[in-house]
Amino acid sequence: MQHRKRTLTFLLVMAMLALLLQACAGGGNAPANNTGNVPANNAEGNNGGNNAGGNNGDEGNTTGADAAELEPYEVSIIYYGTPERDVPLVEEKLSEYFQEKINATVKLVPITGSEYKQRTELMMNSGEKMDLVFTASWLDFFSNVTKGAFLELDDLLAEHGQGIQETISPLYLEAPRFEGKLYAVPTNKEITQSKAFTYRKDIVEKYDIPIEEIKVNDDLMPWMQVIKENEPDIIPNFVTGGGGDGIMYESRSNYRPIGPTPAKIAAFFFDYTQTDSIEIKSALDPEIVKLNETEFELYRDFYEKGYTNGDAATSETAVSDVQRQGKMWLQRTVWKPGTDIEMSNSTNNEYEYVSQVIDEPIVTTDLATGSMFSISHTSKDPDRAMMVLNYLHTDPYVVNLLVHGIEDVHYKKVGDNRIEQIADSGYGKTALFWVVGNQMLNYLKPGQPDDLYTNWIQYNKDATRSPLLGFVFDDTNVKNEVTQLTAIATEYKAISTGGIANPSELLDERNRKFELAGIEKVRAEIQAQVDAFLAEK
Amino acid sequence: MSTSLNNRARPRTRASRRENTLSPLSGALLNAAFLIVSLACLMPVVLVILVSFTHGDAILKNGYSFWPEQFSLIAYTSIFKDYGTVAGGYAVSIGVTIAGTALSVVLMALFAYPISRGDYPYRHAFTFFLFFTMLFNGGVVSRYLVYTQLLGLKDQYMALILPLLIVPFNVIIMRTFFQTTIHPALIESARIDGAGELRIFFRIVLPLSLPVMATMALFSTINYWNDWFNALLFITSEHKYPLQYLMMRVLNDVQYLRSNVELAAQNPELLRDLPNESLQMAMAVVGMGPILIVYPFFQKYFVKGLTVGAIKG
Amino acid sequence: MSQAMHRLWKYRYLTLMLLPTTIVIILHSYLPMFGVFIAFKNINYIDGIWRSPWVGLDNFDFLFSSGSLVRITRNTILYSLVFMVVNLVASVAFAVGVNELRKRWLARGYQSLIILPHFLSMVVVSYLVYAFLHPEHGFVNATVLRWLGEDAIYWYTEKGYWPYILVLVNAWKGVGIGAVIYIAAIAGIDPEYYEAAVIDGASKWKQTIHITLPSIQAIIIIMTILSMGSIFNADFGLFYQVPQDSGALYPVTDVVDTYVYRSLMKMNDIGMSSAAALVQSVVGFIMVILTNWTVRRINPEQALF
Repeated sequence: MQHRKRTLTFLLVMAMLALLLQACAGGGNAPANNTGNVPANNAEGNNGGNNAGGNNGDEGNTTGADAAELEPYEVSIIYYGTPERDVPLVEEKLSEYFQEKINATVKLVPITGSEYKQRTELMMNSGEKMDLVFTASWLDFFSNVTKGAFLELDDLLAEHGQGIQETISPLYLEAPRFEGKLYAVPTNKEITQSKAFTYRKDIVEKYDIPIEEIKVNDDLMPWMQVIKENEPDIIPNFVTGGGGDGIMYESRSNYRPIGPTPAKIAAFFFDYTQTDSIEIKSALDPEIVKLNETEFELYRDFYEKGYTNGDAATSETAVSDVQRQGKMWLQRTVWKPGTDIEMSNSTNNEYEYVSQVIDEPIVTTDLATGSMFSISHTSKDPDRAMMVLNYLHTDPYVVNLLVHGIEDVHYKKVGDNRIEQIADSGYGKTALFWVVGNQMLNYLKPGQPDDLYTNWIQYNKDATRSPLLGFVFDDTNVKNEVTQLTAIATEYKAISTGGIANPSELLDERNRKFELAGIEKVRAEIQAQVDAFLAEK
Repeated sequence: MSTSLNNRARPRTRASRRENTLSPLSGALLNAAFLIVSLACLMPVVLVILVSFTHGDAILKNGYSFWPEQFSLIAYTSIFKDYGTVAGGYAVSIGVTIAGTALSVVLMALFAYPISRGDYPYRHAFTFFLFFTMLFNGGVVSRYLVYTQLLGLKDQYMALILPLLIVPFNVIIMRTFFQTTIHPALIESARIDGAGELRIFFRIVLPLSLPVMATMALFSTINYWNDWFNALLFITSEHKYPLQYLMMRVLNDVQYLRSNVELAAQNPELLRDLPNESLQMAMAVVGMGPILIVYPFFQKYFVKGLTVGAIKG
Repeated sequence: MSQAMHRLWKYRYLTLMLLPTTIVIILHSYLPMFGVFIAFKNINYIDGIWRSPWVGLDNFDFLFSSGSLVRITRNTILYSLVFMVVNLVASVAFAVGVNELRKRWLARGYQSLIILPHFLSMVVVSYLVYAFLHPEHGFVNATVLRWLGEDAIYWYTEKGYWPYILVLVNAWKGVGIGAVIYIAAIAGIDPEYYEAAVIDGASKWKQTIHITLPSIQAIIIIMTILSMGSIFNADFGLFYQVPQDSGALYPVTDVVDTYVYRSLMKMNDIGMSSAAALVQSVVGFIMVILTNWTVRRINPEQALF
């Protein structure tokens, strides 16, 4: 008895102590929250709340802003890239330049790919000060927007981002919107991608393969056999475990994925050629089931005929390794102008490639938001952040400094708009061209054709606009269902590889589990949101 | 237990020792069993080392092999190409490991000893206070907040040391060791001789507990050496990263790119310099190299009977 | 002076010894404890952790309404129990055995070798296992089974083998380091006991049963109580990386940690992940309290508290 009482007293004292300390912690935290609120209010309309912003707004043009009128400010740029030795050097150079132009310095914060999501979300959760933050649909951009991570950018863009508005395709600015408001500025590059079969050129020529006639996986069957018989070193159909859905929907139908893709498996679809009313179908729809079955059984057939690598269901071998070894003749790729050359480069130019695009490229919310910068709600000077972003989209010096480093230290200029990187220079090894600003201002590298960027501009112009561009699914009401669908989808992801027996049965099993997990509820929710979205338009 | 303090004379002759051994047959069987187990543990590590010296292309063609077809130093030359970073990483790792281990063992012992004392009235409460943290924690986000905003540890070496200082599991093990090896009568007699608590702890308890102290030091060393997650959370300066973090970062990036096929497909350039398995294994070797020599160093404290005999003799 | 104050004064030195560590524990563990509340909140970045709205038990729904709940609970708890028993028996057997070796250098050699696997990260271990079990050029299929004239086995799609594989890999990786504690414990046994036993003519086996095991009983019990605390936690790397996250194996490899990871990887919801962690802690806590209570009934000396 005595003993128990003592323990109790002790625990009480400890608990009080802990609470007291927590209170201190809470007190320490409060100001951080307050400052967090200021820009948030700002975003709701009165953009002049900030001194620097107010002054600058009168002039209306960043490039014309007088550096002396602005308070010094450090703009932090958090971006997706592996840290390199000479980051501080580049940071210094950039700061020098910005100091002169807008009296700002920059703080470069590269974060490596595998850690990017975790680290940035930690910073967001703890309300750390950030200015420009790299984000993307695949980095949960929209869920971060609903949680209030980023500032609304329409006004800021109008005020300090004229350069961006002039250079970027307007389609781009339709996509990163939530409830009609802009929350990010996409990196200016290719706006969409096509699905394609990409072949090794020498093989195509050797066997005279009519690649224009190959539109779906079935058409490949005879050629797989030819390869198997004549090219013992080549795996006719190389598949990796994380294979996902391949390119079946694009090649066999007008259905395109929409809404949540649990574990990267497309589970909800719409027909992109429909215009006025759009019907959302789930993976349980007979038509979709049929598509899946046909494809999965075909892959199983490939596997049983010995065309596919034996470890297809689990292989994690990097495609690039197999490719470099000359073991592949065919790849199902996402394609844009220049892909064939990029791929050739990645095999150190040992092989040449030729692609046949099999779908009509459409601009979807997901693709157009694949690489962007947002301004954090914790930014102390969002105006200045937007000015820096404007430079990243318009100033070749700034973009190339950030992407390639310093001239003659990290790269050599070999032509007007063309460079060669210096090996092991301490900068420029991590690929930043698709991350920052305007890729079309990047110097060209060996192998890239002179007309690369003009091709892109044309490609962007020709791309079809998805009727649901700008639509974003808000999963708040079906979070539970989506988590469960995700868990189920991962469990069955290997059925598309052919490496597992009886894919149709397993598909059936998966779909029954999907049904139990509430896939219909999610479908209905998407349908309702899509209807509302279309009605608003 | 009660006989341990008995001052009965002990016949500690060589002859008596030799008598107390296994029969030759059992000894041989035991050795054979240990040999098999040891090989099962050694061979995979040898394989890792061999693969690290094999050319990436050969691995892709034949899988792992104990007889590398294409010997190659390429993995190591590419790691040590940036030797400044690797050397810096080693320096940070060694510094943090030594400082952390020393501090950790002392602090854990200072806590474990009082709660091991049967007469200490608050022992249950403090044990529970400690044990509770073993199961419940606020998670990464709240720890990050406390470390960076309250304690100001962002980008500080202390952020690498503090998280692993007190391992509740180990403290409780330590407590149990103290309870079983230090007889209360020993402490009582010391107190009668006029020794204070601190003196008893340092002069009697610690010397008697060398095996457990060595065990805990070993665990701490391994913990600190292998820790990379805290570096991921708190360190931002490139030159302050410990070695294991630098190695894990590359390994994690490889895994990440492999599991995000579509990201890689959109940007083939991301894959160009993807380290192959030979390089990954070389990194594992570079990362674990120094720690492998640590165990024999601690081992001498595990010798049977060393401590009790030394004190009483 | 009251009795309580008197006691406080009498043990002031012991309390002082505890203090520095207590402060470290408060700083590192108790201050961030407020994070437990995240499990009951829907966090948004504007309000931060303190002001985000409470949502009651909403965050727990995904775990409890899951169709996989039975499976992951069964897998997690069964594996934890099996690992506990297998590793305990193997570690103690190793420690006892190594202690009996006449040649000390051999004993040291074995000890050094058996802890080697502990230093390999799970990623590397998963590569090694893959090298063994690869369907085409894996050691088992390409060499052993071919030599025996058997058909190749597609290890990563055959779930029947995996409980054994996982137990084996876990033991292989953990026994060496686990044995260190028992080796240290045996090192602390007074040699007098054995000498007395020899005089009485006790065999090696008898000595092990009657001296060695009883002497390390306390440490075995404590280790068991402590591992009960993590009964609802699983080694993520072992269950995720080693089976290559192969869907066909989920019925026997899916555990709480992998399930939570897979469901939430696209969600960025710290509320839900905190909820899962809290459930794990509470289950562990209850198990420890129960085990401790049982031990206490039998022998209060050996209970944790």
